[in-house]
Amino acid sequence: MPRFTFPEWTETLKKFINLLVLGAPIYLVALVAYGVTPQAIRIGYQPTQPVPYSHALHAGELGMDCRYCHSTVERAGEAAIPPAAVCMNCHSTVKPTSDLLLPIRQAFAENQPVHWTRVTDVPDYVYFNHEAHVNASVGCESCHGRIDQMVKVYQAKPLTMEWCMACHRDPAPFLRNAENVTKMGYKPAADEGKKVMKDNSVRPPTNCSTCHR
Amino acid sequence: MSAKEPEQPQHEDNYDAAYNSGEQPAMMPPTPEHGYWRSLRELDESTPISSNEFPAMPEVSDPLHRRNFFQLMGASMALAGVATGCRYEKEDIVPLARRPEDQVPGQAQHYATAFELGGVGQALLATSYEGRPIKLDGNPEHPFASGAIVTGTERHAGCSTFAQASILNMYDPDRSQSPSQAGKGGSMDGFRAALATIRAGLAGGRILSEASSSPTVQSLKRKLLAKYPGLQWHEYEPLSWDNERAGTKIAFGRPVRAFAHLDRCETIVTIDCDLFVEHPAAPAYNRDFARSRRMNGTLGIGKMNRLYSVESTFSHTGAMADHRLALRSEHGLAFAMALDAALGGGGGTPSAEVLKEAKVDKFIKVLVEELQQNKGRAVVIAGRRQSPDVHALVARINSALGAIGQTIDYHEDPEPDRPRHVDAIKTLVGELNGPNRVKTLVILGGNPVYDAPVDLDFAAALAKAETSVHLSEYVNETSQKASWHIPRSHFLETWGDTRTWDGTITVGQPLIAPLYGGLSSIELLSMLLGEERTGEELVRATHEELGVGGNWRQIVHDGFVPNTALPVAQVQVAGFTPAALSATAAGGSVRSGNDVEVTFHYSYSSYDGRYANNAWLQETPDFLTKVTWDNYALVGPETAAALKLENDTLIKIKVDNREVTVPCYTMPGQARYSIGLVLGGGRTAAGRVGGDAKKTVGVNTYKVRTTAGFDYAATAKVTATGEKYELASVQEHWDIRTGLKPSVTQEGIAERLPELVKDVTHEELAKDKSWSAEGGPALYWDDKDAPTDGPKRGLSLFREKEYAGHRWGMAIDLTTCTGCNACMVACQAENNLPVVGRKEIFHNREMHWIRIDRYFGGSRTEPVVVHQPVACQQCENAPCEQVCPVGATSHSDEGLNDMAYNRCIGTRYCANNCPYKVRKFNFLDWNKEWREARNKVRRLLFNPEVTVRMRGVMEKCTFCVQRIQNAKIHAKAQIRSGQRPGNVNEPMPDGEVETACQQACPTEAIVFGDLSDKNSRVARLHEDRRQYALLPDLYTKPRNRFLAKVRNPNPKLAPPAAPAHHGGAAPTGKANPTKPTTPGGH
Repeated sequence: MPRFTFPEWTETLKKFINLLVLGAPIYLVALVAYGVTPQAIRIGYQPTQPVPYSHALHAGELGMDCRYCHSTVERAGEAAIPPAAVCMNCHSTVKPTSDLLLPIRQAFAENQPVHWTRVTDVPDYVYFNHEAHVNASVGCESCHGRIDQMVKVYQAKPLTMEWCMACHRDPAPFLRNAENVTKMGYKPAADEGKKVMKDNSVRPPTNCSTCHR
Repeated sequence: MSAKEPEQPQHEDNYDAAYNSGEQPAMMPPTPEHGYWRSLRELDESTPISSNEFPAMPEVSDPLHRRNFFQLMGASMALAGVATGCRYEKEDIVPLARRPEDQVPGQAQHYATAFELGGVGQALLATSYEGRPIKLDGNPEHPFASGAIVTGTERHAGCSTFAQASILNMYDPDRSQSPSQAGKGGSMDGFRAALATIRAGLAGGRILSEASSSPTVQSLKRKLLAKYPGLQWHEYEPLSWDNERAGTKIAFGRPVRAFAHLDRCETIVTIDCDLFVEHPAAPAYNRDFARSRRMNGTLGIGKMNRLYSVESTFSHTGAMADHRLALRSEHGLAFAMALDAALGGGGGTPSAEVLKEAKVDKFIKVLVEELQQNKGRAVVIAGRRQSPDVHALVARINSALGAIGQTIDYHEDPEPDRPRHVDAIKTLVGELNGPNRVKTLVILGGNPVYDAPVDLDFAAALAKAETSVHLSEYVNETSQKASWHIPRSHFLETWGDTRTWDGTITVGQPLIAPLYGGLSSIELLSMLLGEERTGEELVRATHEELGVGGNWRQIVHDGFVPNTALPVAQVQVAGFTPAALSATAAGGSVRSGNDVEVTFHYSYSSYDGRYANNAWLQETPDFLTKVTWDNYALVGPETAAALKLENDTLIKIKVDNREVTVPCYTMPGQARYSIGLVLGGGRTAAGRVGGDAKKTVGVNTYKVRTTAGFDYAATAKVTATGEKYELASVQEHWDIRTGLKPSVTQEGIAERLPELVKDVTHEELAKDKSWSAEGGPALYWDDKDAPTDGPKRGLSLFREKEYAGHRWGMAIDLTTCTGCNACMVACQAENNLPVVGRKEIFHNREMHWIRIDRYFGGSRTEPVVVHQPVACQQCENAPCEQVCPVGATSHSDEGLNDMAYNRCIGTRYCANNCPYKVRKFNFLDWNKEWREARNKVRRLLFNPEVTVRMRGVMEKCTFCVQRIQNAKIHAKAQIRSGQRPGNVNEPMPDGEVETACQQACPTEAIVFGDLSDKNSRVARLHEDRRQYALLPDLYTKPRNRFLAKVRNPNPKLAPPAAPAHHGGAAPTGKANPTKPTTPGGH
């Protein structure tokens, strides 16, 4: 049996082996480095909730305003996940027997909370305040993405400090007329942001203590 | 302990010789002629030892070997690798199934409630986040202790340290969590089963209650006494104001309750009495005193009150006094008699040697003269320790002064027939030891096994009762001896009511369901009655009975029932003759050597021992000694010199045939031959913080407190043991710029201290309109400000910042700061400050963001005191920011010196470069134990608005930036949404942002606000001529300013050794150009 010998042309590959050996770590480091960036691991985070609530249906198709459920968004730091009682406002008559809504009915009947999983999260040393942003006419969409198109909510933006600071340094592109704050897919007019910024004296601070306390 | 007692040098207690010659007794080193000093050590030694800005790196508490270190590091690296692949910890959002209308997630709510200490209530306002109370403050709407001091703050109520810190007890994992029978386990069901027997034994049984002014307790008491024949009710409290009741009974024929209107007084005299912390009316006394102490206060423009204090051991009042006379407590009677005789009260002048001393004689003469001039505008108040005779004489003096109805009101006592506490417990012990065996003894709260007079041997008597039931928050010394222990719910967990000192019925509502189960005292009493009603029902029923039901919801909202103050008694002084002076009190030179009197004092850290397990209080330093985590004996400099005592020497105090060994602390200004013994230490069943049978915190000084010597023991012997026990004092920690270099001598310190604390007399201030605390123009100017002529000025190296919007600032008035520590505890609660423990205090690792620097001035025998709260000065030119290598501390455009914890890498350069020494470093993971499962409940107390810091980061006062941000955000949002008029660029109105320390300060010495509004209170105070900055020559431009302390001494009495040079301003009023010091020389 003839011994296998590498064909001669493989000799040319030898040159590249060094490159491969040297390049692999760089590639791996780059891969991991990208892998742990917020863009890679945070955007698209999509936990499963106890009830498959669809924002696409409620906010999108039915056109409900965000503030119907997230009722404290204009007057408090937290936008407030609605209590089961809010769901029951409609669902006592709409689909009152749906299996999917069982946890809600149970919570309402037993007066026990539903345990939702937080999607949009910032680190514990960051103090984000909805009241400040909504009243300064920042659209919901700017941070939460096209909620009206999400069947299952996922994180749409990186929520990194760099990302926050980009808007705090130059807010105009993200501002809109107050009445359109909750509107999804809204395209502000060319100078709308600048005008809102001027009229409302929106000057987002960039101090450490703005967010870190 | 050395068996052989050291030889006691004998010397006569001869005041005259010492004071007439104007010399110090020979055995003490002479007092130097400089102004302020911080400790006797500093006075006595030419070079201070306190080069402790950076104490030698102490041994790491948990030694970590190199190998372990690498193992750990490896593990954490691996973990870090895994963790970065994930998101943050999965977090649940748990909304209420039905949200009450007024509840907004993440927003604090405030509820009125009430706190009771020693049978007197304090109205509180509790802050609650989503159902968990996190902070207690004074109720600003309560009629008794709230209201304006500084104009423009109509809604203000300070809060004592004990009331504020009591919230920590609620979350204490050491609290009792289930009933126990005979020290073994038990359950509530078991107790219910035994209830029938217990109730049967109540006929002829006994109830021992801690003092309570709760109308509901009183009502249930009446019902129980009616239901069970032979049942007797006793009330005992180790620190009690019964002597005043007994004294007013002598004077007026019935016990009444005194309440002075300090805001109307030009002259206030206290005899062995602390108005500002110890007195049950302290919240109101602080407010009223500050009102008439301020120069534009209630006495009119340019007038301020004058405070005389006669006492044995320094109290807050003595430290605030314009004239303080250090007399032993036993001399109180002679002093009161002399005052009474001189004011025509009807008594004769006593022949006590002490009154013949030149100094005392002069003091009384001047005082009497002033009192006569100020009839109707003066008041005399005697303290808890003084005998009923003294209180009776004081009532007569007040009557002679026309004070009654003007500056002092006597209110009807809610229980005029109640015997004195010390008599009550004596009777009870007699009955327990008597021939008829007591079947059931119910003890409501308290801890008599620990704190009853030692000669009664309460523990032995308790064992004689057939069944004893002890209701208590902790399984304490008494619970261990009782046959049943029932856990008691905390006042924030139950309904209750109480009366404030003026009698206003104050309602306490629960903020949370009982964390560990348990009953309140009224619920237990109701069970004993066999009806078992809820707390709310009981309180409401009482109010119906009293006819004050009214609108219940309104009452609960406000926290009090309006117009329920006790009526003012119409009193007439009856003729009486006080008891003759005792031999020791009458004689002058009877005391010598080691023959002393011993006075008993409440503890800063545990009150009477009950807060021993409260780590916040244990770590709050005493206001003068600055000792934490211990109790001790206070000895005067003369006694110390005579017995060769130093600080920390263990001394043996012998009262009758009982003795106790305690560390001593040499207290300047302590009366001669009087030893102040702090109670509340040495608990053997307090908990993991406050001590158990194996290891105690402090020493149990109740071991020498007897029924005869309940207030003070007149005859005691003190000997030095020759051994030492180091007290954890923070006195010389964090000192500003004085002792940093070993080369700084006493003279150097003497020169620098007056730059830090400044004071002025009222007379000087009035006479010299050009006086200013700053003295001269600032040393450094900016380029543009530099004068074109005159002396050349230095240039600032800082890049100056322009401020367009809010400019936050603070002003602290040293005139009204009593050093009560309320701000320290408020800050601890608000900002999630950790507790480090006694061991770490020795390493200078305490974490308080605001500390109160205490300075003595003058001589060691008659010192004056200044308290100076120092937090981050929020420099505009902050030296800390210049040296941070990672930009973790940087300046905000509102002038705040921000701290980003998550960016800090712990180089500690900033603390190094901070001239005020206000930055605190997390050397260890102080919050580690809260992550243990059994301690998790403690985490509920954290303020969610403030980051809980990790090991390795620097922290400091933020001016309560979380409150600033929230107020600002809310105001702007309301303006933008049209709910509030105005403009988002306007300054913040006064009062909209209050820092925690400001809110807690009972005298409103701390004022915070927006300097961009020229008319804000703080801006006006920054323009006051009393204002000065700390270390102005560093050109740090601090946003916090102090207002020089104004004293109001009587010119006829030589001012108590006023500091030689102070104020940085010549008393002549000429602008005093500050001597240029070499920059960078510190």
